[in-house]
Amino acid sequence: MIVADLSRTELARRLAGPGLRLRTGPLVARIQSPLPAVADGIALHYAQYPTTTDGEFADFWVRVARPRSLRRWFKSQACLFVDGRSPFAPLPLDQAFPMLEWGLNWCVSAYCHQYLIIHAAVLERSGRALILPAPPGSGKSTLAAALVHRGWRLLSDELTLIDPGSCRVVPLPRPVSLKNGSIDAIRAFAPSAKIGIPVRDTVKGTVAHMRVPSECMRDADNTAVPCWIVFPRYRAGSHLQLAAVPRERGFMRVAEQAFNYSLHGRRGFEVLAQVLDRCTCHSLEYEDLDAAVAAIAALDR
Amino acid sequence: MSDDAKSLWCSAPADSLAWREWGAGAVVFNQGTGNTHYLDEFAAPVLHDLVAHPDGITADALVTRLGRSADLPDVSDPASAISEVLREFARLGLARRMLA
Amino acid sequence: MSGAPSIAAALIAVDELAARGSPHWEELVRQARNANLLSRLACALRDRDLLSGVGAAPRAHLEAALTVANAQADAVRREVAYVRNALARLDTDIVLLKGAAYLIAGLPPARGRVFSDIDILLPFDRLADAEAELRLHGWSTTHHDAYDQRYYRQWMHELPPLRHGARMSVLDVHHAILPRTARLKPDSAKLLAASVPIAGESRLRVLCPIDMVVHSATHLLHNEELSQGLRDLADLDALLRHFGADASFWRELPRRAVELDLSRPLFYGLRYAVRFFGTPIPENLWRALGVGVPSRVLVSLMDALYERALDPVAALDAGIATSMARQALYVRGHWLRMPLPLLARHLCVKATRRRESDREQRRPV
Repeated sequence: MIVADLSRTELARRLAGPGLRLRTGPLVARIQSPLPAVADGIALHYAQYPTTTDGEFADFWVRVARPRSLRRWFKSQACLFVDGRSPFAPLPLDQAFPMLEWGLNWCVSAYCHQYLIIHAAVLERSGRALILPAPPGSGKSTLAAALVHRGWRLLSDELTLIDPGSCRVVPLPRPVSLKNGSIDAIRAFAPSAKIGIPVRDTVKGTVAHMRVPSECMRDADNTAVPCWIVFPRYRAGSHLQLAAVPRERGFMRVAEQAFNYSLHGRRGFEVLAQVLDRCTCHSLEYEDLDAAVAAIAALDR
Repeated sequence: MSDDAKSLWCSAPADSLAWREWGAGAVVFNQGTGNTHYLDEFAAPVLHDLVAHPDGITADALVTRLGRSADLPDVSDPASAISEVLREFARLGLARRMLA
Repeated sequence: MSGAPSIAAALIAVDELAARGSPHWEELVRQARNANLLSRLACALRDRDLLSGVGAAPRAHLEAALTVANAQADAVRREVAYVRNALARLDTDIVLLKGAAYLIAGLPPARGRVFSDIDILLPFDRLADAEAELRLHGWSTTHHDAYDQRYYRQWMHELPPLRHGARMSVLDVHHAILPRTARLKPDSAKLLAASVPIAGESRLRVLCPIDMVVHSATHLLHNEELSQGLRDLADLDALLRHFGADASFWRELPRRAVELDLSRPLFYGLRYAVRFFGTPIPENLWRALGVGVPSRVLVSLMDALYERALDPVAALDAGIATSMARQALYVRGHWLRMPLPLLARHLCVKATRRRESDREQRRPV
């Protein structure tokens, strides 16, 4: 059963009551929220995603609701709860859906150390993975959103999961988070993209989420072998520059973006080394999305 | 400086170091500190040599050995460069000066 | 035990877990994660060769927790070595406390433990020199506010926590196990005199078994921060089972607790260890504690508060009741540490500061 099989009423009922069990990649989140903004966001972005029954193990419980305090009557706020804790300070009510997305990312980063987790977007073509590691502001989500509409399957827009046993990328496809200027850029680049209503004045500026195209949900469980690592950097006014990066340097730059690298100790080193063994590394500075997409496609020869 | 050149240096225990090299330097994991390091094309052979001499090797000997090696980058003042690398290794816990 | 999942019950009946279904495991993992006991559960399963029999989905979380615990144990070992090195010129041994002590001395509470700071105990008159040496080696003080500095140095039993500039690790240097301003006054000199060296580790010591148990109970009962409470109680349970194999331990325990003026916290520590973990304790021990046993009314009140505050099931909902119990114990914890006039001022300052730093720290990424 997928989310789209539920009526909107039933979806709201589950979210407000026993919770909606949603599978994303290898993980199941039990989501609870009485807030319409959350139900709307899930109906739009997760329509094609499987829901599971109570009998199947959920990896985390996430709740987005008004705070439990007197302040709820003074200010319209949304609060995120993960097993009784609030990892974030409350946010304005209209940020409830982004808060859910940030909350799900938090859960993966905080708990899923069965994987090596890299702060990177990752896409796949013909079973081979393109990893785009980047600190915030590099434009990786924009580039990922563009690539998704030019023949690449999204595996993740934020958190790249590497299975330590196989050193392959495990898909965790979730809505692509776009900020500020990227929103219009992607609307122009891919008019068919399904982008939710932008939410203003978040800590990251204006934020909107782009739905993962249904084609990405086919073969959603297939892992991919890492093949290319590209360090993207969006720079207004710059010409396209694609340069090879020696693997040793590439290793260090990826390790910097791997949240839980040091948790894995020596094993983390070995796993990341195997990933680098299989990849070529590049840096990409760009302004024009079409040119960037073409340069990346050219790597696949 | 001449003290440096005559002291014996050794690396962190060989089995605590994990390496990977792809032709442009090396990345090394040190189990003793839990840290990972990038070594450029000059520093990597120095650490290799230290590992190869568990009983210790002097900076002078390193300069001689590396001077003979054809694959190394050209350095105008190998002795200074080696000293600097050794000091950096000591700071990072990759090597140490052996006590007399 | 009833069928309802409880991490405390699970830890003492690990063999029965394999037969449990997904909903049970789901609840258990959530409780354990919240109480910082997930890696302990994972270790207990692995030690009995039961880990591979757990379903793949919960097992992934257990293994993830083990990864974290192993990384932390490695980090603690390294950190202890750095501390020992930094204090090499100090003419006194270093007594490790709590987690670092359990790990370096190879004691059962270390298995699957989650660590944060390193705690050490030094004689009061060596503190200034110790601080100087640590600064030379890269540690610096935290809590720069003059009020906080006074809080720690004048009123508490430790230096303000020291953070290492490069490694960002935190070191708590204590000269006593309770604050100077507390009502109870255990004599540090006695603790230090009875401390024992750690085999194979030069200059490192731990409290003797009885003192370690008494300290564990005292720490739990005087701690204002109870989110680790169940984990601390699990430590106490593990220590009691380990040392309790020796009959002389039980004979000496009450006598020493009285001598250290800590029989009251020991009473409660033992009581809650039995309540949550079924720790086997000889019947005659309660009588031997005698003077430490509080009035019925007080015990009932404490029971209500602690059972709520430490309850792993209630903790998941963070409902009003748990929150109030923890608040009450937060106040109590502080009350035990400081006389009342000081307390009101301190709590006000801390409450404001907590809100401010909360707001800063909790921005989403």
